[in-house]
This record gives sequence, C-alpha cells and structure tokens, in this order.
Amino acid sequence: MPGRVMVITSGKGGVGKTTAVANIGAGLALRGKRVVLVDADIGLRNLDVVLGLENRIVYDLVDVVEGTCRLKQALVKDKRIQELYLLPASQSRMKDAVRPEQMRALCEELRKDFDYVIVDSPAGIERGFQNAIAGADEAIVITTPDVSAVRDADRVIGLLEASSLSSHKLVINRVRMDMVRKGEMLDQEDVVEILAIELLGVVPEDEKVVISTNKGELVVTESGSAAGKEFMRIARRIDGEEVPIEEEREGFMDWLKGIFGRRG
Amino acid sequence: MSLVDIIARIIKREEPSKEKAKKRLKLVLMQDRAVLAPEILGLIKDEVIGVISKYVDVEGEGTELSIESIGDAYALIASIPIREVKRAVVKEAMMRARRGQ
Repeated sequence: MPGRVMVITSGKGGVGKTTAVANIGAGLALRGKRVVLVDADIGLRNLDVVLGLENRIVYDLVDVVEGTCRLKQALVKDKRIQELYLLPASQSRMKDAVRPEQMRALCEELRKDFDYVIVDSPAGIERGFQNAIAGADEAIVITTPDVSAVRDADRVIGLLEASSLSSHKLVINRVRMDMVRKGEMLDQEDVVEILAIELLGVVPEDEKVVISTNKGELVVTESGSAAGKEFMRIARRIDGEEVPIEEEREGFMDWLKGIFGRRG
Repeated sequence: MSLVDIIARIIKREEPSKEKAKKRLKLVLMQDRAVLAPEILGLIKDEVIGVISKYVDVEGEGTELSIESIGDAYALIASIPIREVKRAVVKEAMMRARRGQ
C-alpha cells in the first residue's frame, strides 16, 4: 500500500515547524513505521541540524530532481532511530530550482517505499510553500497562540482549502499553561474557535526542546519532556490511534506556587 | 495567578489580555477573509440586488458593496441607487406580504 504524504506548514516562521516535523516523524518511526522527512525549504536547510544529521549529507533534493544522483543516494539514514530517513534541502540553490510538478513526482516515488512522507514547508505562502504542498494529500498547520501566528495560519488554511488536499489539522505549539491560566494567552478552545479547524495536538512550551536541539537530539525520545510526550501522542493520533487531547492539568504544588506568585 | 495579580485586576477592572487578542483576531480575520475573496462579495451583491429588485427598481450597475470598520466593529455597507419605485411593484409586494401572513 502506498504511504501517506503529509506537509507540515505554518505561514509564519519561527513557530516550531521544523521541530514538529522532526519529532512527529521520529515518533512515527519509533512506532515501527518507515518514515522519510523531506526538507522543502530550499536555500535555508534546517531539518538536518535539528535531526543532528548535518555531517552526513552528500546529495540533496535538488540533486535528485535534476538527476545528478539517484533518490536512494540522497537519503540520509538516522543514526539512532531505525526506519527514519531525511531527504535534505539544498543549501546553495534558490527555491525556484524546483517546480511543483517535480515535487509531486518525487513524493509519488517516495510513497512507494515509505509509510509516511513528511514534508517540511518553508515559511511564507510563495513558491516554496506551493512546492511543499504540491505532492501532499494531508496537511498539518502549526501555530503558536499569538495573534500574528494565528492570523498567518488562517491565511494558510484558506490556501489549503483552495488546493486539492484532502484534510488539514492544527497543532498549537509552545503553549504556556501558566499564562493560559492567568488569561494572558489564547487557549486551545480560543484558537480552534477562531480558525475553525480540527485540532490534532497541543504542545506545551518546554525548554527541553532548546536543549535537545542544541545537541542534535530529539525531544520525543526523552521520557521527561512534556513537549516530547505530546509529539509522541500526535504521532499516535496520526497513525490512527484514539488518543484524547487533554488540557494540561496542574498539580497541587503548581497551584500553590501560582497562588503565591513564585512561579518560574 | 498570584494574589497580587488578582487584586490588581479587581482594582483596575482590566480584562485579561487574551480576550483582547481574541477580539482583535476575529475582526482582522473577518477583514482578511473578506478582502481575500472579492468574488464572494460579488455573489452577495448579485443576490442582494435580486432581492431588492422584487420591491423597487434598482440600478444594478451603480451598486457598491464594501466592508468598512465602524468603531471596533465591521459592517457590510451597501449603496444601491434606486431608479424608481413603481406603484404596481409596491402594490404587488404588499399583496405578497399579506398572502404570506
């Protein structure tokens, strides 16, 4: 059976798209699926460093599209997780080096061999975005709970609705429960109400993401990380498991600390 | 929320900032979505003209439909020039209304 092609996109940059691609992809691979992550941000290669695979790249996506190498030669296998592969973006070329129909052909080729093809879209809604969604049948929109990211997400959802994709779902990233409780941050219900889109997951802000990324490791493999746990739950939901989206419940000590304003 | 925050909010009667964020987003998205879909505005315009023409003879060409901000809300403003109000049309419309009762 051919694999599923999903694009992860956001409109606004800096909301954690690449982190989400890496961790959701790794989560699916940890479940025993064959996963390839495609970095479609041509000219601004990023997914390789987030995965810690930056030293193992020989060929890239543009080489494959131009026929400089075979597809298999460009795929980089992850060091730690079985069945997780990366097709890196080109760093030296510009994004008009690839056309949407070439991306479509590439995704068709990859889905023959993988259960999941996950495309990391560049920020923006121009050529790079059009390339990234060209071969996908499903989209995951990432946003953070701030006004600019939500506005851009709405624009992207509009464009996805006008395209041929069969579904699109939302992941809200970097939610700070302490601020949500104070009413100083939009909560998941607010964002879903505003964007009118199905919710796939709510990832809490977690400094372990920064620490893991510094080391080229993935937070989804860490048992003590709140963000890592939610990325794993998102992977299970994508894979067809029923995993409820629960609001993060605070413990008694958190509540006590909150009352006395010693949160930190 | 700390005690200090709670007390400060009660004294200032300030709404939490997320409520402001929500209101602002709803308005800006309404505008974004409408501006982005002029063809939708065109469809609304045609249907509005259709409905009004049942009662008064309007000039379809001169009709303008736009979304404007009034204070902190948005409104759909329609400007529809009337060519003339025909007695027969008014009579018929009133008959229709009575039949509907």
